[in-house]
Formats: sequence, structure tokens, C-alpha cells
Amino acid sequence: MREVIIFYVNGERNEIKGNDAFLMLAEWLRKKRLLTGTKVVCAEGDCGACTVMLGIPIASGQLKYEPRNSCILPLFNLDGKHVVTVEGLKKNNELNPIQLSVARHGGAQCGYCTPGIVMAITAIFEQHARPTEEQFRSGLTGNLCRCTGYDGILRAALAIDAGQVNKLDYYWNIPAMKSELAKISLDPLAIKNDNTFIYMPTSWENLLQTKADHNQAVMVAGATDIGVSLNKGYSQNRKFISLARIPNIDTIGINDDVVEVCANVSLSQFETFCVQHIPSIGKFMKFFAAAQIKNSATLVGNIANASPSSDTLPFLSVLDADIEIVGINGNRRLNINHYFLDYKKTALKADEIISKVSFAKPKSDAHLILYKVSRRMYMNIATVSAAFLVEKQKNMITNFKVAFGGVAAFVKRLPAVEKFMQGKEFSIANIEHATKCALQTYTPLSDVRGSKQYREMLITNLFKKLYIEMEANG
Amino acid sequence: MNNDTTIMQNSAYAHVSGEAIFVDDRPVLPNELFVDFVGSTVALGNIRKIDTSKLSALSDVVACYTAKDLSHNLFGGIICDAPLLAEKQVTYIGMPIVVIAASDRQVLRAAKELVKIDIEELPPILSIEDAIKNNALYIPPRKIERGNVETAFQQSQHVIEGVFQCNGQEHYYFETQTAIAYPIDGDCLEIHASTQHPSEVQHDIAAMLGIKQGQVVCVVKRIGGGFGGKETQNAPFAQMVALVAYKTKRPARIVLDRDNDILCTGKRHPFTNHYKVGFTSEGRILAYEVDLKANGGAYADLSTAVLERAMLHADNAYFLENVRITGRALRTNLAPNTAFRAFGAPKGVGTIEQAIEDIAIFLHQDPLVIRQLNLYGPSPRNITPYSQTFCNNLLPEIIARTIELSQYQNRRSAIEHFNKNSRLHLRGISLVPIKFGISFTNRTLNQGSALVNVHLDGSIQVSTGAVEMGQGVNTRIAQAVAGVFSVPLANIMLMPTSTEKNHNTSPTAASASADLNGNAALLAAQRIRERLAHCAVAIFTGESGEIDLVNKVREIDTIIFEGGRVFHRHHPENTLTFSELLN
Ligand code: FES
Ligand code: FES
Repeated sequence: MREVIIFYVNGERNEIKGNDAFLMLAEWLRKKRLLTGTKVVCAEGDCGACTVMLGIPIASGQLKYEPRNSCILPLFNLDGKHVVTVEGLKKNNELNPIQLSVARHGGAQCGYCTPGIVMAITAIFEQHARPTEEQFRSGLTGNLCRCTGYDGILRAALAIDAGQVNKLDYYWNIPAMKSELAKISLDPLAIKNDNTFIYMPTSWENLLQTKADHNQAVMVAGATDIGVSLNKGYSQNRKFISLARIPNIDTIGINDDVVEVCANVSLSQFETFCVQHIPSIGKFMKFFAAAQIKNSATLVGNIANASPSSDTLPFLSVLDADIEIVGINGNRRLNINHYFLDYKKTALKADEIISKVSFAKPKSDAHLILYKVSRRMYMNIATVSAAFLVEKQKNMITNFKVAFGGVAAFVKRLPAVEKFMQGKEFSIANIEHATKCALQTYTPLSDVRGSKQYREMLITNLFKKLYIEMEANG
Repeated sequence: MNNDTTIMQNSAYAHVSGEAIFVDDRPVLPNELFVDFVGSTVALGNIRKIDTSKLSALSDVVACYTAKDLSHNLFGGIICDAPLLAEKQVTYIGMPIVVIAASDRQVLRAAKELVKIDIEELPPILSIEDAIKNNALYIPPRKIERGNVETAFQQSQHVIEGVFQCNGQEHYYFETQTAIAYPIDGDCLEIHASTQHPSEVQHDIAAMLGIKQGQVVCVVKRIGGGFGGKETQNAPFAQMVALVAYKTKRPARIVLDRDNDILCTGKRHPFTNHYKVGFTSEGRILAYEVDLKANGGAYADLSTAVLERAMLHADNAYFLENVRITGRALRTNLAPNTAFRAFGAPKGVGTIEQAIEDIAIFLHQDPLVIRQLNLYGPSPRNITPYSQTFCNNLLPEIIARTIELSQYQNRRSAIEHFNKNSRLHLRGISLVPIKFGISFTNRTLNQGSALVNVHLDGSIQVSTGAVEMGQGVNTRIAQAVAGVFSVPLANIMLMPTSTEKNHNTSPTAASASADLNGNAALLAAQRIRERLAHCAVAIFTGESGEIDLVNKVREIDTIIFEGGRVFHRHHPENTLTFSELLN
């Protein structure tokens, strides 16, 4: 069992012990390593100013680089990885073509967001050899800029000569580093201090025992939620158990039209899978956060978190997803609609862990229609989100399922509406009746994202939108 | 934009490489202290007791201060009414009460929890309506009036009344309020602050500590966005670190976390403006009356100036023959609202634009037609409500040209067509003129400051009163100076704004800093070029010895600075490089 965290920063090896393992990367880079190019602006994964590239060992022995928000990335999650910061983008002390373009096309004004912008563009080129404007736009959604109005940034991105851009491996092709990272990245790991710990077991048996021994410990995957809680002081609990090293739980697959998503599958992986197999969800996942977050956060983490405004829970709810739960006292399977009990309260017991979620792929003639209304399309959680699953024969509804997020203590289905719509004509009159019924069931709150009245109006309008869109599409 | 003649922001390479230094990028010194403060949890209340005794349990907490520790505790550029630290009363949520300094950043959070402040909570005034009810005014109501409004309303074919409402807005400058203070030689301080107004930081610190202004230097290399939010509101945080550094003799740093910054600093002013407009059946405005009310927050800050600017823009681009503009800046229990891009003008402009939309809807007209009809024009339609003659009015031509270039009419009909057929989305188009007053309304603030140092190798350092915050002021000034000496832009180094070089300056604000400070730099550079030309005359004409400054005055015009070289007009074959001349 290794008790020290090993990772590389711009090709340099670092060992971390003790409580430092719980520091966030951005803070550590800036204060301990004096790598101050990485900026902290929001400290909650919202602005991208702290974006770094994370090199993760893959089967070939190479490193795969992905963008991450370093402000909410605890050092323990870096074990076995290579961090490249903005300071690591020069070779022979020369600015690279991405940097030159941002400088020359007015991509920087005050400059505070700029290192993050440069890193985000770097990430886009890691993924696409010749990015399109659409890919630039989508790759930059996780980066805010208060000065430029984004025009200069986009202009700079589009002006880059893709043929001149090198991948990060060109800058950091260090065989000794790669081979060490490949070797250590599956080690079991335990950092134990007086009031804090992180365990990364490598077998289910160990994992379940550890969870049973430490009831108060929080399960952690990408730490995107935990990072925010710690930074903002919502939680001081630094007792974590990680799923990261359990073998074979980063897989997603489809079998007999049943989709199975294991606990370590990131939202990026899930999105890529859905784009291919379930386009309605694939399209929708585009609006779930930016690359920096999606690469870290997991679908199962999203379920475990049970946010009432989650983007994924409404569609999992109408699809009647099954949650597979494992524990030291046995395994069970629970319909997701029985899993939520109250605001952020679930049926999960303290010694239990979610191992996977599965759901039947919607039938080819079923319409799965998903909506999200939020203040910042990609990055904000929804003011109101909705999922409708509708099957029709001619104009008769043969199956109608609906769930809303953001309008109650947890994501809830509408059994009364579903019962009413069953076998009815798909007409505006019936939709209006369903709306009325929905408004009686839900009890939206007024908060910073919108008033009760606003949310009620959104419920009404989303029903209407469903009608108009389905009518238009036949 | 893509060719090589494009001039880059002069820090652009440093920005993209991550090497551009902001205040908190400075390394932490071994004896440095981290500073934070405990603020009020209520919007209005009387402080009964401040208990900091539990702090002694934390060995890393080095100092804590309250209002009692200050020599002077009242600040404000226009009305001096704002305490740095609350003493008897708290008047907004987040209002600082206790300053804490610790040698460990993590400990500060725990330390803040240990300070217990007992406050008797009182009902606050939060809205404009409540402030009016309580007559909570900063200054007597202001009024600008012309013509006969009452009669003009009677003569109007139509009269519409309405309310324009505009809520607050957070600056969200990317770099939060930040400052570091370094003690120098025991009783002096060097401050590095993220401020738009280094002189005010310097002056407020000296006053607070009861020391001489000359003992304090405030340095600003660049700031990560300001937008008005750092015109007056960085000073309190710079004062906090100055207090700690002065008392403990250790460097001290404050970096507001984002949540706290949003919580306790002022925002754009919410306004509620009632208006009444009388007009003819064609849409010509005959009478306009508007009453502007600004929610100023708990202290005056810049609220009276913001209100005045809103009033001075109540006409926007339109001639108002009969007009009454009244305004009130109101005291409430929000964090003191402050400068924000355009400084009140949008509230005046927005109100009359809303009135114009009202007229257009009422008359079933395109609002643009109403706008064109009411624009300032030739005499006598060229006098503003505040009696300024509007010269060089190009608005009618600009609008006509914009209509043509933008294919406004085609687009408008395309949009109408789209809207008739779309069930889910609506589109719109609008073309609105703006008349905006550049520069400070307080005229003495319209002054610049510059120091130009020419070095023997031909490189030139320029320091001005203007703070670089991304608006590119340094780039413009560098261009101006490079032009004077006709040397490459790369020879001009823009140095930090610092109160030992640029003192008693105006804030970097009012869209005028490049013009004011750029002209100062231009004058300074021209002065130096004149002196160099004297030397050149001597060199090229073979005269040596003392330069007769009086008699050579006209001859300096014969010296040409061009393309990095210097020569005599009559002997262009003899040239010197700029640095040869200097040597
Ligand atoms: S600082 Fe904003 S995302 Fe990390
Ligand atoms: S350049 Fe200032 S925030 Fe982007």
C-alpha cells in the first residue's frame, strides 16, 4: 500500500504526503510551486481560469491529455498523472502557435482569464486535429472572460494554423516519466492523517470493507462537487474513499438494448456513447457542463449526489433506470424512482456504494425529449429541467412518462399526468390539462435562479413546447 | 486585423505565457501575514459587543484590529461618510468590523469563526421605495429644467407615463479585490494593490494611520479587470493590509475570496425612474419629465456623481424642448453602490429609450422613425437641457448610413416574416443612437500625469497616472511616445503606475485616461525631443560649446526624427541613430 502521492508537473516529479494531499492543485501550484500562470477566479469550476491539462496513462503506455479545473482538483486525484500548466507550453522558450494567435488577435485584454483560455484551446487541439468553429465554441464553454466579449478569443482560435500545432506529447515526451506513471497508476493508495484520509483500494472486497469501517467517509470520483464544498467551506469532511482504482468499472456498454454504465464512467464517456447509441441523450449531454468538468465528473456520482436540479436525473427517471447497489451485507437493485427520498436524501445506506446504473434504450419509435432551462446554458444547473418519453400510434398516446427537475425537493415523476395521458389524443387540450395537473403536484421554490412563478411558467411552457415540437415533427 | 501591422496589447505575450504578474502572483515572503476580516451578518444593527478573546487560542493568529486601532475612520471622495471598520453601527451585510492577520492562510477561516459579534438587529431599508418613505437622501434632490413642461403636456396630442427599472449588477472583475503592504524602513509602506485609483489608496492609508502621505507609495502594475469596481472600493482592503503591515512590521496580503467580494462590495446602482412623455401624432416629443431614483447603498461613495451622470444623459440623443429632470440618490442598507461602466448613463438613456418604444408601440411605428424624428439637429434643436450647445452633430448621417450598411429595412422585414411563422422563438432588431459624455463631470479631475525617462541606449520608460486593466491604455500611450521620437514601439516600456512618480492623480475612469495621461506623456516626450534637437543642431552644424537655448529655439525645427534616425533637414546625408544622438 503506497502512502505517498506521486505525480509530475511540467515534467518534474513531485511527492506529496500528509494533509497536503487534500490541497487543491491550483492553490498548490500558485503558492508552493510559484507557478502563478494558473489563476483562481471562482474556485468552483465555473470560469476555467485555472484550467490545466492532465496527462493520464493509457494502455499504450502513452499519456492522454484532458483539460481539468485545477481549483477543484485535490492533489490526491493526481496520483500517477502528469499536469501541464500554462508554463509548460513553451519549447526552447518560444511561444507556441496557440499562444501567438491569442496574443495577436486580441484574445487577451486584462489577461486574467487568458492562461485558462490558452489551456482550453490546447485541449481542443488534443482532441481534434483540425477543430471546427463549432468545436472551438463548445470547447470554450467552460471559460469565462469578463473583458473581451469572446470575439477576440474566437477570432484567435480560428486563426491558428492547425498544421503548426503540436500535441502536448511533443513538449513532454519523457519516456522515464511515462513508464513510471504507467507503473504506479494502479497501485493501491492510502493517505491517513489525524482527521483526514483518502483510500484508493484496488478490489471490491477491500472497497466494501473500507466503506463499512468508515461510515462517515464520502465516496469520491472526480471530486467536482467535493472540491467546491471544501473551497467554499460548506464541508470540512476530508475523509474520502475513491473508486478510481477498482478494475473494470470505467466501462459503458449496451446488451440486448440495455445500457449499463459503471461507476467510474465520466460524463464525457457517457456523452460520446450516447451520441452514437441514443442521440436524444447525446445531444442533450452537450449542455451538461464544459469539458473540464465532464472529464472528471461521473454519471453515477451525479446520481449519488441526488441534486434536485440535476440534468441527468429526469431522463434516468422516465427511463426507469435501475441502480445497482453493493454493500458488505449484500447487493440490491433499485428503481431510480424509489431511490430519492427527500432533498439530497437517498435510499443508499452508509455502508453501500452504487456500482452501476442501467436502463433500457428507448424504443426506436419512442420520443425521448429533454429540456433544460438555465441561466448559463452549459455551466449553470437548471432552473427547470424536464424529460418526456412519449409513444404514439397515429395521434393516440400509448405511453407517456414525464419527470421534472428543479421544481421539488428531488426529481419526481408525475404519475397522475402519466395516467391521464395514457390512451388520450395528443391534443393541446389534453396537454393543457396535463399542465394543470403538473402544477398541482410540484411545489417550486423561489431562489436565485428564479421565482416560484417563473418556474411555474416554465413548466407550462415546456409542456407547450413539447406539443409544438412534436406536432411539427409529426 | 490579421496582418502584421496590427498592434498588440503591450502585455499580450506575457498574458498568453502566464508570465504577466498580478498582485497575488507575487511570492509570499517567509514572514508575510494573510489578512481577512469579519463582517456584519445583518443589514442594519447596533454593535453591542465585539469579542475577539477566543482568537488567542490560535497560535497562528498574529493580530486583530477594530475601529479603536485606527487614527482616522471616515472616508469618501465626495462625501466623507464611510467608516473603514464599523464601530457602533453596522449598515450593510458584510460591512467589515474586525481585521484579522494570521501567518497561515487556512487558519484565517477558522479564526473568523471564533470572533463573536453581538449585534442588535434593526429593520433595514433595502428598496428605493422604502428609502423614499424615510426620506433617506444623500443630497437635496437635483433638478434640470427647461421650457414650460406643464403647458407642453397640455398641448401634446398624446401623453404616456411609465416606469423604467434597472437592478444592480456585479462587476465580477476576474481578479478579486487584492492588496499587499510591505513595510519599508520602519515607518514607510509600499502598497501593491489592484486599484483603479492608486492616489486614493495612498491618501486613505496615510489618513487612517495618521502618517504623512509621503510615507506611503502605492504601485499598480496592472489589474485583472476593474469596470469601476476598483475605483473607490479597493481602498478599504488596501487599508486593512496597510494597518497590519504598519503595526506588525511584517508584509501583509489580502485576497478576497469570490463569495466575500460579491457579498461586501458595491455594485451598479439599481434605479427606478418614473417618466411622462407628451408627443404629437407623428411622434415628436413635446414634453418630457423624468424622476430618477438611485439606490446608493449604505454610504455615499460615488452615488451623487452617478446620479448626476444619469441625469445628464436623460436626453440621450434627443432634443427636448420642454423638459424636467429630477434625481435623488438614496441611502439604503446595501453595500455602497459604486462606479460601473458608463457610470449611471445607461439609466438616463434607458429611460428615454423606453419612452420612445412606448410612443412607437402607441403609434404603430418603427421606433427608429421616432428616434430619427427627435434627434438633435441644427439650431435651435441643438441645445441640451443643461445648456450645452451640441456641436459637430453627425448623428443623423451616422444613423442614415448605419441603416444602409446594416440593411436594416430588409432585416426588419425578414424578422417580421419569421415572427409571424414561428411558434417557439421570436426575433428582434433595434438601432439606437448614443450620446455619451467622455471625461469627468468634476472638471479638476480631467488631468493626467506622466514621467518619461529616455535611456542612453534609446529605450524609453513611461509611467503615467493611468492604470492598465485590459483597456489597452498602456499600448496607446506607448504608440504616442514612439511616434514623438520615431522609434520602434518595442523601445517603449510602460512602467507600473506608482504614486512616487505619478501622484495626486485622478482615478483611471470616465473613458478619458488614455487621452488625459497620453497627452501628458506626449507633452513630456515632446519636451525631451526639443532638448535633444538642440543638441542635434549643435552636432550637425558643427557648433560646439554651450547651447544657447534662447537663440536656437527656431533652429530645432530643422531637426527631423524619422524611422529611428535623426538628421538635419539641410544635411539629410548626415544621420545619427537615436541612441548615437543620446550618447
Ligand atoms: S477558478 Fe474558476 S474554474 Fe477554477
Ligand atoms: S481578458 Fe480580462 S477576463 Fe478575459
